[in-house]
Amino acid sequence: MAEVSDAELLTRFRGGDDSALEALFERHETPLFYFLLGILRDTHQAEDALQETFVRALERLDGVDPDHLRGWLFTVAYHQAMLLKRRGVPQQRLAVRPDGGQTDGPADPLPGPLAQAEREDDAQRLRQLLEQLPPAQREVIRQRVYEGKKFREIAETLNCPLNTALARMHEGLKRLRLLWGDHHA
Amino acid sequence: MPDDKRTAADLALQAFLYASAELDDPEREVFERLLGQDQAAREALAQAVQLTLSAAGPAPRPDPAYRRCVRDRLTGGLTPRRSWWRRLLGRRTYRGHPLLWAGLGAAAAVRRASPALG
Repeated sequence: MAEVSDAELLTRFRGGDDSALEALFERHETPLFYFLLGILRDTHQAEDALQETFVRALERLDGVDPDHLRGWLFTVAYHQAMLLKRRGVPQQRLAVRPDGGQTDGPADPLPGPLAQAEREDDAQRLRQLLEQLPPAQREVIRQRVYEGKKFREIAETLNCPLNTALARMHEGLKRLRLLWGDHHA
Repeated sequence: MPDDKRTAADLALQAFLYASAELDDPEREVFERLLGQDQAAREALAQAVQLTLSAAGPAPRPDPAYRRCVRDRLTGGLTPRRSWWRRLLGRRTYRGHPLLWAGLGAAAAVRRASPALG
């Protein structure tokens, strides 16, 4: 069955079909949330901004092309994030050391992989999965995750261009994601 | 490499640096301006964040409780459309509706002018 378009879902929602709103959430909330998290770097702020985004975007649909709803949602999300950034709401998160301890240094912009792996067995699995990566990708991720180095520092250490280090990180993370998916299947 | 592919690759890498707070201030400002208008840059940032977070397992999702808040706020407003009398009697619109206060004001003025109506 062909996927229902955003325009059709909006029409159904305006007609009182609550399931259409649920479908819009399912379709757009995750990328919107990650987008907001990338700007705000705080999960709670991102969730607050996500709620405001949907409310404001769906209240102000006049003049919006329903076929471009996704772009409209992201536009509203962007402005919500910038508004919160201008208010200068301080970040609450602490930096996390690779051994799981916390420091009171500058907050990590994104919770690192180890910060998320709350259980030791998840951290153990991560180390095992890293071993399955090509050496070049593994080394970049290792220095980033376990040593907390910036990408420019990693590129300097490995004597490669910055873009190369970033590309290895990018490809390595994609592969890790697949390995995690296979592991949990 | 075709321009489209090179641009997509550049965006992906820029998004990584931005998400990691490793762009210097001028670069960060340029990328943030791009986020304001370029959907490809926005999608690149979302993907960079998801990839980074999913390195340690399933990436976190937003707490679904926000959906009910959105639904409550939307159904108390203009969307979805309801009949005019439901909108008038809906609690939030009823209290703040300008016609209500104009009507009360008019009723008070009439009563002052004609005490016998009391």
